[in-house]
Amino acid sequence: VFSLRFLPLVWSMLWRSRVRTWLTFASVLLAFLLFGLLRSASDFFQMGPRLAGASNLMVSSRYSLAVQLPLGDRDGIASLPGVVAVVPVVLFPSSYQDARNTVMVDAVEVSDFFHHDPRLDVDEAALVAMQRTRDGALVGREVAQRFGWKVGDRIPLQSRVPRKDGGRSWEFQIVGFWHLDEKRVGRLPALQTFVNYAYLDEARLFDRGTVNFYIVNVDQPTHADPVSAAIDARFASSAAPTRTQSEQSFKLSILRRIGDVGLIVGAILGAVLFTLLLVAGNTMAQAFRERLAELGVLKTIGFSDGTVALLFVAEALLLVLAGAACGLGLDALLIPQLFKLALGAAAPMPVQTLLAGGATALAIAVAVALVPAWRARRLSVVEALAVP
Amino acid sequence: VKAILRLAAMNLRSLPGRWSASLVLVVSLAGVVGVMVSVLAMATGFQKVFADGARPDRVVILRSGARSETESQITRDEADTLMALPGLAPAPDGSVLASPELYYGSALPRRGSAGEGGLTIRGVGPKAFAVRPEVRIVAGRAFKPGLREVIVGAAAQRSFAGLEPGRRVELGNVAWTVVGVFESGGDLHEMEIWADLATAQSAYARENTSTITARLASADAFSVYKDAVTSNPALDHEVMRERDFYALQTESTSRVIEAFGYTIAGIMALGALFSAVNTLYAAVRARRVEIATLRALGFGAAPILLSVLIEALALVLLGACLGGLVAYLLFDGLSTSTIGGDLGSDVVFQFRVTRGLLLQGLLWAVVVGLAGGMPPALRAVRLPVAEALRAQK
Repeated sequence: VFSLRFLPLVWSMLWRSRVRTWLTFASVLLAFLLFGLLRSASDFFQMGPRLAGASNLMVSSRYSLAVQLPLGDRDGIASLPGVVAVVPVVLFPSSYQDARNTVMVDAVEVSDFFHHDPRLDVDEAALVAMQRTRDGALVGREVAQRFGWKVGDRIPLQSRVPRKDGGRSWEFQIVGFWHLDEKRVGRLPALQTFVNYAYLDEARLFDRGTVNFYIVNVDQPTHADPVSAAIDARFASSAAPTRTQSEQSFKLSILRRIGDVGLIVGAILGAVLFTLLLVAGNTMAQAFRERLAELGVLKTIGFSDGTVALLFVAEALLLVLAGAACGLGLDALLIPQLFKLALGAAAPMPVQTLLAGGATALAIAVAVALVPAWRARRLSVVEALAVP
Repeated sequence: VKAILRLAAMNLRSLPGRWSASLVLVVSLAGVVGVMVSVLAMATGFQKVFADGARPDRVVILRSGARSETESQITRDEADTLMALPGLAPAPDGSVLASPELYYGSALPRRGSAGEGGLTIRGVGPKAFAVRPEVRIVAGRAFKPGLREVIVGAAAQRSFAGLEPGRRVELGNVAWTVVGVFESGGDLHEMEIWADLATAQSAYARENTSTITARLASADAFSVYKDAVTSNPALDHEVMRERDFYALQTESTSRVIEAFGYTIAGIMALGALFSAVNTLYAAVRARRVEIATLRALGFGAAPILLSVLIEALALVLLGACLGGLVAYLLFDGLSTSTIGGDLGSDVVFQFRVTRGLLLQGLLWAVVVGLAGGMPPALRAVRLPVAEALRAQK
């Protein structure tokens, strides 16, 4: 019914009204530019839970993330069956040179942390150096690139945490870099810097001997639930009861408390796509009205009803897909720069954003072509040619 | 002028005949304004819940470098020194109007829905009620020092289960008795639970306090007090006006929301501009015979130009009002919450669709209408009269 040799015909139909085609194209482009931006933001936002390790548990205070746990709990957790490693974590937000240059620093037991997280890639030599260097820092590859740091550099960081002498300037010696395993998590920037828990805890003025939370590694994912229950039972009647969650639900609960980003993005995209449907639908409806006589001629010279209908579908597909491709293409160029602006390191547009964008474009093209295609199919030659 | 008005009125009356193209423009504008107003209403409401309680003669004292109450710690000696410096308002008993406070996080089951929410327990000094005269006990009584008694904010009582006076409540492994409910003019403290400072310190084994909130002798005494703090070598603390302290708590979040809202609305406005051009070109096409006839009758360029622009403005303003109305009906006063900067507490706030935001939406619409209406309006004026009339046949 429809073959590629009709493409030149579709093409010339498209350019019948130049201004309108360009304006519609631009509207489609802008709508998909927005689609890419919003979906990337929300996909990126939800990446933490999606990439969470199945064998990792997070142990925090039962009451609040703002309440610390004692370091003494570590041995109690480690003695439970199924527990492979217990890593104490202290959040140590800092900045480099300028308060706006945020550096995310976590104080952890570095070798335990890296050995039990397959998502992180690091040279064994760097881990050994980290153990030898009390004030060592293992820096995320992309952070090091941003500030031009090299192994052996001593870097001064401003922190909100005071040292024993009351000062807030901390100096660390860079012993190596780590990065994320591309095969496991995709191309994402490594933005954290790790320092030794033992060094930081001894050198800080307040809260010595406490952690913000523990990361617990279990021997197999199926043991995550029983081990969580055992940890919480172990400390239920202590001075600091715990709440143990899988890494995924821990991250999800924080995202949920930040706000329903998915719902906000969905509502905005709903408004954008509804408007686009009207814009493109109106264009197609106008195209149909202007073209009645031509359609009559096409049918007279032997075009079947189906072919005439498909001409409209092809026209809508061409217009919408071209606009969507340009919009999403612009996103692919823009989004890494936006990430760089927001996080200090570029990250590519998530692949699932691209797939969702393509599917949406197809759906919209079909939806706007439906009515004119159906009417073109039903149009009788007499009726069409009767139009003055 | 009369001719212009009559022409514009005639044109607007013919709008229903071109409803489908016009509808596209109206909906485009409704989308732009609706999205912009709703997103910015979120930022406005978030700032307002903080800013509401601020007083010019009140200061918050934190350890230098701390950006929130959880990050700050002040030792007892430091607190004594800080409260002895000049600039603070005197209290009738010879001390000053200052309340050292301990900030502690806890979680309670939310009322009506599953899950827990974070809330703040604030141990307050004996002068807390004089420092914050807006705080009123509306049910029950105040806590007694030395007893494990708390008073709860009215908003906290509404949000969390089991906070009625007389009930026992477990907060961070310590059992307290609720003895009263307080209001503080709708500000953030209404989401908190208050206890006596010394009692809270012993209950949670804390030697230090987090911050000090104090009243200045007058709003002008700020620099006197701040200088006294910064010039004291024994201290490493920061004095902030309450308003500035709250702005610090909100700035990063509201900046993100605002940047988000303006970016989205900006791109959508550009799209609406294209809709406007498209719609009005179609309108001019539909009216070309009418326009040519008017020109032939001797109407000048200006009334024609204006009639197109007025059509543009009518449509965009209709769309903007629609968008603003939908945003107002759906979101104004809608309660939502986000996580506090310390990860411990949740900030509950309402969307605020203010008159300023709605006016801003209308302004955007006017800009889009004029910019998008101009090319078609110029086309209408330049329309060759004879040709247009001939096309009629």
